[in-house]
Amino acid sequence: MGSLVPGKLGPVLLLRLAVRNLLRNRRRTVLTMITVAFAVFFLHVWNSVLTGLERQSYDNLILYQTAHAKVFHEGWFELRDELPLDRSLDNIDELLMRVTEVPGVAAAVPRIAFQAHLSDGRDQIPVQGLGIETSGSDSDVFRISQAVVEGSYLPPDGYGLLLGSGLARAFDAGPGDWMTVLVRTRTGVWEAQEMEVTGVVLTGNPSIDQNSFLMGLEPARAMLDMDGRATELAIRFAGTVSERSVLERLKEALASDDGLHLAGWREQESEFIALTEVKRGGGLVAMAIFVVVALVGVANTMLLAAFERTQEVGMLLAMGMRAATVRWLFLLEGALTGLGAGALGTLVALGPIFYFAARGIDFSAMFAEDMDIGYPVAGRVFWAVTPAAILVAWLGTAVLAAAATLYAAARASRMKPAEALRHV
Amino acid sequence: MSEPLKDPVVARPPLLGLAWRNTLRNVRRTLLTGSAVVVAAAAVIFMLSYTRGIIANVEDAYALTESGHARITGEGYLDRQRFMPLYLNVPGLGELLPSLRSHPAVAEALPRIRSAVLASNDEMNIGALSMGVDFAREEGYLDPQRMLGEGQLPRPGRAEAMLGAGLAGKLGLAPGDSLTILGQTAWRSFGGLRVEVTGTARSGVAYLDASLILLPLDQAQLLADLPDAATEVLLFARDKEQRDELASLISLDRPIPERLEVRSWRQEGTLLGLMDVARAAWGFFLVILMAMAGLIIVNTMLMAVLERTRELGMLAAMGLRRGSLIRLVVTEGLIIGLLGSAIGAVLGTGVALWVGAVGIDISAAMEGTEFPMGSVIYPDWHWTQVAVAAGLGVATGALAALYPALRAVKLAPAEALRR
Repeated sequence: MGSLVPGKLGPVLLLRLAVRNLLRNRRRTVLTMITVAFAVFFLHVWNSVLTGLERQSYDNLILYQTAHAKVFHEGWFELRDELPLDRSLDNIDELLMRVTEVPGVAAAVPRIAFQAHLSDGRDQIPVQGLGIETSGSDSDVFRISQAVVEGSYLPPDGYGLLLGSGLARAFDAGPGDWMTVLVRTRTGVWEAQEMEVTGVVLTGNPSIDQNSFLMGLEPARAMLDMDGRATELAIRFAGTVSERSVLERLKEALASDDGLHLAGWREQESEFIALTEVKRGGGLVAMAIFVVVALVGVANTMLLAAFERTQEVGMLLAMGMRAATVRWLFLLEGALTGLGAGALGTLVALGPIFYFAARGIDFSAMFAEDMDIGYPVAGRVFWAVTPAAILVAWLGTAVLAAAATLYAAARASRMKPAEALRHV
Repeated sequence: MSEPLKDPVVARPPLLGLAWRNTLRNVRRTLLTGSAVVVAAAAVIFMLSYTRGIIANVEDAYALTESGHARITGEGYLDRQRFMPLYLNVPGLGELLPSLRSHPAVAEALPRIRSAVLASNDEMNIGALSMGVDFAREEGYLDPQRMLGEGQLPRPGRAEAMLGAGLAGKLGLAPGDSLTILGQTAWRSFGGLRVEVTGTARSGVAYLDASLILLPLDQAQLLADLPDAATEVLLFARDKEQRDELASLISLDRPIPERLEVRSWRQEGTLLGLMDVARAAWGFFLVILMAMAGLIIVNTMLMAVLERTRELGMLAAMGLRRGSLIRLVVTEGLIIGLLGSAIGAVLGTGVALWVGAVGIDISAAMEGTEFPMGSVIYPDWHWTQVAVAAGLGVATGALAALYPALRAVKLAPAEALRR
């Protein structure tokens, strides 16, 4: 140690001492760091893939199903499983005006969602029908028009069917085929209509792909006895404003009319959001095992160091260094190991993360095209770059590594100077 | 140490004894080294039993509700099964079933009629899945008795039904109430049946609880106008080993009437394929875990070995061969791996059995999904998992000792000469 060691060391000196101790046995330090870096690497990759899946799922829901928010007739949302037509919006134009006047609203469009039976003349199944504006304004809110994988989008007059890809496969039907749509109108009368399939859509969203067909709003209104009505008004927000504030403003704008119910996409999909959190928790259990093994590695190494440095620590204590300072020294060494390992694991993980964030991974190669993998995504899945999570994982590693050193630090500082020196 | 040193050219040095004594020289350090294996082995056993529990859960739920181990249906049914077409059916059950049940590999042959119906309480209609089953024979398979929440099972020959608890709740029906079931017949005309609800069902499979109506087979035959027929016959193997080949055994040994087909559960859908993907992913996970444990062992072993360089050099100078030196150190690693695995096995087995008894409730996660999976996962412990964990632990210990061993033999002679 050279000169006399004061009882309490300044942080800079302590840090230098810790660094030097780590460098004394480089191989051991590097091996420990590699162990921890493994855990950090997998934590980053797992988080990146999962966050990517979640973000893309939420985007998918907004683009194909929920929009940013929807306005329903009072009571419709509670009965949404039944898609009731008798709780529908009228006075659409006036409502549209009120909604689009709200700052932050980019576009709004009426739709009709209804129960229907779809038949190819041989078999029939219950599905969801969606009547959408074909003049173009539906595409201001949703992206159905870009999800057509076969045939073409609905013609301007709205007469035709867009089939979800799963339905098309089940019926073995495609553009040019005729299908029968059987519905009950708003007044409860059965009504059937023959329509030609114009195209097939693949959105990655099972509720569309497996369970829905789309047709023009006007033909749907005529078929369902819903003249001038809609079951929902779907709203898209401008990308630059905060979702919550637009939702607040919309709520105020619609407050005077108590026959309406406004639901943001998070409210509409609260079950799905809860589900993703449960799944994340499940994965976290597996990740925790990695972390525990890594921490066992740190604890081991530091404990070894404590045993090995018995004489040295005894000397320091004999020269008047406080036990607390010795403890801090060991904790600092643990933290530095974690910090270094975090940096290593993060650096290695950034490669694949940035690569797959840009290129994406094609899940459809692994699974059947529209198989439900629990997340509504189609085609490529892009990993997410999450600077905050990366930083938290990195710093968290340092904290946990220091925590893993607690026992070693306590042991080292509890030595009695005289006994420790006896080992000399 | 003394015995082998007496004779400088020991042909077969007692490596095991030496290595054992070396592990005892610094018990504290041995324990530290072993702790990595302990944690990893325990984790491996728990994760293996956990995934085995999940996979068995999914496969069982799928076999019992959907596919059997083999399934006989009308030709072309599987391509259209989303529509549950009644016009593609299995007729002549009176002859077919006894013939199937007499096959030595078949534990049970279960006729079922599946159809999409509307369940109506006179106020509202809800789409539902109606399944006509042979209640007596389904015991131990679909197991209606075990699903029964309230009330009792419907009796054959009577217009009675059992409803999934979720469906009953939506319709506001309880045992004793009556229910109208509207559906199609095999001849595509409209059919209807008024039944008394005798009980509600909690199957543990989320989508079934929300939509299932269980009827006696004869009532379903009445509703579908399909006397002596079913839409499918599920076959279950007597012997677990024969599950995958049951379909081919049956096709070989029993004349399957025309216009029918037999399909193995392995040929059905992508679900079981997904399970194979899951298995591979878990395997990768375990290998990484062991690699991490290995690195920790390398670390401590390296220290133990480098500390003894002089001593190893001495042994080398006295004629112990390079190979023997390496074996000495690797044996030490083996011993540590073995001890660590043993303790880890006890630990992992304890946790797996405990959680296996309690179960992990994932019903919140399964709500609303159509994944055929029970809502409580029970880790499924099996002795082979201990074998895998121990094998991995011992191999890791030995492999991780290899690098320190190689370094030691490289340094040892020089170090010995320097003294």
